[in-house]
Amino acid sequence: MIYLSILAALLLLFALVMLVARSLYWEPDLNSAGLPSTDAAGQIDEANDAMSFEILLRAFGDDDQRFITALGDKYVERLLHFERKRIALRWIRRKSAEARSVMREHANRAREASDLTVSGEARLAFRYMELLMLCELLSLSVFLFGPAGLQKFAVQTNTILSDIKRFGNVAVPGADTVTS
Amino acid sequence: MLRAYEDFSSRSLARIPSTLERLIYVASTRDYNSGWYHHEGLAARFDPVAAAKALEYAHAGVFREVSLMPLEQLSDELEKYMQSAKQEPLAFLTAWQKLEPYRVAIPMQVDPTVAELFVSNIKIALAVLRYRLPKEPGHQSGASLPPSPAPRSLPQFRS
Repeated sequence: MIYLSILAALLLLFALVMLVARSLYWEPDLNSAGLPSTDAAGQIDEANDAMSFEILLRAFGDDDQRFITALGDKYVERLLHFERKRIALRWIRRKSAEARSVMREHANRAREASDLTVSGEARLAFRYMELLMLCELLSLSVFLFGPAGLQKFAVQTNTILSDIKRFGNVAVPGADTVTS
Repeated sequence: MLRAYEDFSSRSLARIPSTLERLIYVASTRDYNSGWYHHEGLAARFDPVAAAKALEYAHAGVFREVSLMPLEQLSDELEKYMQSAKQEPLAFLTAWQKLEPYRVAIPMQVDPTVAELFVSNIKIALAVLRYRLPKEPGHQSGASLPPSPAPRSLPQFRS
């Protein structure tokens, strides 16, 4: 029994290490359309971010699912399932990339800050880990079952990311505002 | 720019009945080679740069509306557009599924996820319309139709 517990603990540790390693080595999915990093592009990014929640509702919602199910064609149902899964996974990767970007920016500013608080940094790190784990769990669930019915988890992911963005600024007093 | 946008919205866009048609119309004011927007009437009344910006802004707004539209509404709008195009429905669907002309309606500076959602929704709406096509009597569902350009067996999903 004790060996089983040790094995389970090792597996969990391995999963955690893989999670962190994967988050570090993933290429950012931001600006993949080649948006210029000018002020104008920044404004467009803000507008696009405002759409993020609406994408979430569409990708993880079940309105379209109901419509297609009522139609009664298996091919269209499979197509919807396939397409929604693709969009949902892309959305999750995007959120994960945004979180990494915020954390990277926060780390850069934190190096120069003199009045960091341990509790603030710990809280931020905890939220970041929570978000990464939620993203992995969400990805796995979407991959296995599809995004329909997972809207609650996706909203939670979005909320944690908003917290990280907000808290990333508060934790380094006097830092410039990160566009959310 | 705002005045040019309001002018374009009230004079041109408001006359087009469906959102999808509005999107196709605004996208058609963009030059494929330069990405520059141009509308004769608007450029004559306003500064050409402001007119182009207004068109770009209008494009982004209408694109957002279409991309986030429920599939049921999008299918209906696409059906209306197909009817207004006065083409044989089967020929229209085959061309749209094979050539994917709707991709030119994607604005240049758009969130890639939104662009993907748009393409994805149009693909599904086209499949819905193909399914809704009247079947020839005595045939099973879809048996009278040529094979769909979209593969009937979906590719293996990769995360």
